[in-house]
Parts: sequence; C-alpha cells; structure tokens
Amino acid sequence: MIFAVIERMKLILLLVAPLVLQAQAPAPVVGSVKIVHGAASIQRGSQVIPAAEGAHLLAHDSLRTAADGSMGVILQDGTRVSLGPNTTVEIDRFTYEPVDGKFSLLLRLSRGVLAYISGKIAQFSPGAVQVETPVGIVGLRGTELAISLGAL
Amino acid sequence: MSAGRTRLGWGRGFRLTPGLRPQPDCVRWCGMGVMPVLLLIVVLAACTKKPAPTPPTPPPPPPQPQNIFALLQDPEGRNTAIVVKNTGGEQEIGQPDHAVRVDNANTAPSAPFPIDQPTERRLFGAALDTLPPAEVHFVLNYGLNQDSLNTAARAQMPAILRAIQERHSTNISVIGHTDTVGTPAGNQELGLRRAGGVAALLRAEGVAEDSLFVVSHGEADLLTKTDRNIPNAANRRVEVIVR
Repeated sequence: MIFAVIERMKLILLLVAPLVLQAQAPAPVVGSVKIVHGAASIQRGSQVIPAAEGAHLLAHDSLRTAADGSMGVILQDGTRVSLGPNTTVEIDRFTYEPVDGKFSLLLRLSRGVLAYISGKIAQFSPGAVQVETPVGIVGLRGTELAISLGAL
Repeated sequence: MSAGRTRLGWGRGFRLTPGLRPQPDCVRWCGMGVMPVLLLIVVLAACTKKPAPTPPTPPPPPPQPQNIFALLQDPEGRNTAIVVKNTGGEQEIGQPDHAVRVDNANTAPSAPFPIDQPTERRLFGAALDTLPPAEVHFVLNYGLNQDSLNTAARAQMPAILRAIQERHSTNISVIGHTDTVGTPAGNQELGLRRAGGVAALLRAEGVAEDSLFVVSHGEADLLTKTDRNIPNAANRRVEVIVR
C-alpha cells in the first residue's frame, strides 16, 4: 500500500518537475532599452514597469510612450527600434539563433510612430522581419524604415 | 440695509416682485426703437448695388489623420525595399525617401510618392532622434587549443571597456568559438572556457554580472569554413558585442 503511494508520488514528481524547471528558467533577453525621454513604460504580462535606460527586454514585452515620451531600444541581433510619442509597440516574436539558422522578428505597432534600422536577422534572412499595424503588414527587405499612424 | 437701498433710489425698477416687474426705460426704448432701425439697414443694404460676387473661401478642411509608411535612405547606400500589404492589396516601395499612405486595412496602399526631408522630420523626427547607436563588435583570437588571451587580444580590452562605458551598456554578448580540431563536444567546452575567461576579465573591471551574456558556439559557427580537424586561427575566437 505504502509502496503504491510512493510510486504514485514519484510519477507525479516526474510529470511536474519539467513544468517547474521550465517555469524557473529565465526567459531569454531579447534586447535592452537604450534611450528614454519623458514618460515611457514596458508592459510585461499584467505588470507595467517604468522604462529605464539599460532595462532588459523579453519577448512579448509591449513598449509604450506617453504624449511627452520617446524611447530607443536595441535587440540582440543589432536591430534598432525607436518609438515617438503616444506609441505602442509589442515585440511579438524574436528568434535569433545563427547556429541553427533560425531567424524571425515580428513587431506589432498598434499606434504612434516607429523607426527601425535592420540588424543581423534581416541580413541573414531577408523576409524574416515583419512589422504589423492595424492597417497593414510591412515586409522588409529594407534597412531603414519609419511608420507614422494617425499623423495629422 | 434694505432701508438704505431704498433711500439711495435703486430699489424700484429692479426689485423682484413676481408678476409685477416694471421695466426700466431703456428696455422699453429698445423694444420699440431697434427693430425699425434694423429694418432700415436691411432695406438700404438691399438697395445698394451688389459688389461682384466673390466666391466664398471655404474654411480649410480639418487635417485627416494619415498612416504613412516610408522607406528611408540606407546609411551605406545598400539596395533596400519594403512591401506594405493588407486585404486591399500590396505596394512595394523600392526607392528610398519614398512612402505610401494607407487609409485602412481594406484599402490598398497608395502608389509610392517621394517624401522630402521636412516632411520626414515632421512625421518621424521624434522617433528618428531616439534611435540608439549601432552595436560594436570586437574579435579576440586564440592559439591552438588555448583558452587564455594572447597579448594582441589583451590589447583590445581597453577599447571594449571604453565602448561599454560610453554606451552605459547593460547588454554585452561574449561568444566563444573554436576551429574544427578535436570533438564537437570538446569544442563546445573550449568555446565556453574562452568566453568565460573574457567575461571574468570584464567583471574584474566592474562590468555587472547580469550585463554579460556568455555562450559558446563551439565549432558550429565557423568564420572560415573548413573540413574537420583543420587548425584555423581565424575560427579560434571570442566575439564581444557591446550594445
């Protein structure tokens, strides 16, 4: 009887352990904040962190600036992205694994102004970079791009 | 107080008595006098000869919000292009300093049009001015199977530290590489020892632990492609990328 319970507990541990380990492994850093002017923040899940110069960025982080804000970030492949005022950009997908030949970058601009200078992802895999907006998707073979949504 | 007001004589016309509110003289005069005067002005205006009709200038329409996608000049003059696509269609911008306008997700992007410097500044200036400087890249080379820095590599350390300080960098990749001499597993370890040694030197100079991203690519990312078991000085390296 006791033996059976121990066996069952072992089984549960075996099933649960990988999940726990996975949860504890830190999410890979995809970039960092380099320049902040005015009010800017990073939304990570339900958490909102004031954007500070030097802060590390993770995949799915949403970068936001207020009416007086602007922010410049650099990603791990050297891609540079900056936000003008009243802007929201999510780093939706970032894959930079040169050894395995895996490259992908998807930025989601939902409002405001974005400037972009390509990095190694675009260099190694033209077509792996996309910027999605509410009015259309941009495929990039380009090196320098700027988008303004709702400009007057 | 009310007695005082009466004595001063401004109580009568303005006292609020329901139903009995005598009007001051000026109000009565206005009611009787202004209308005829107005009529006279209207009649006179109608009689005078009309000036040549000048088309009324309509007020300028309020500016419509616009969505602008621009391809900017490549700093190194490389060939460059973007494609803007939605359910309405797609449009390629193949020339720098050209843009398309997109009204909504169901309307195809406009034809590309040139965009001048002042417009570029007006639309994108705040973002363009906040673009960070490019990352800087250093390569340190190693002797065959060595994991300690030689003199030439060591001489690069001050420049690396300067780049880190100038950029206030919190994001430094240290990537170890080997040539194809030995086994892939052994080279993975050798690459990590090389990168770890450089990271240790940077830490000793005050670079924060969590600013350093230390990895080994072993022999998987050769700078010069070679067969197995080929000694190659260029492939034995540590890359330091300061962002």
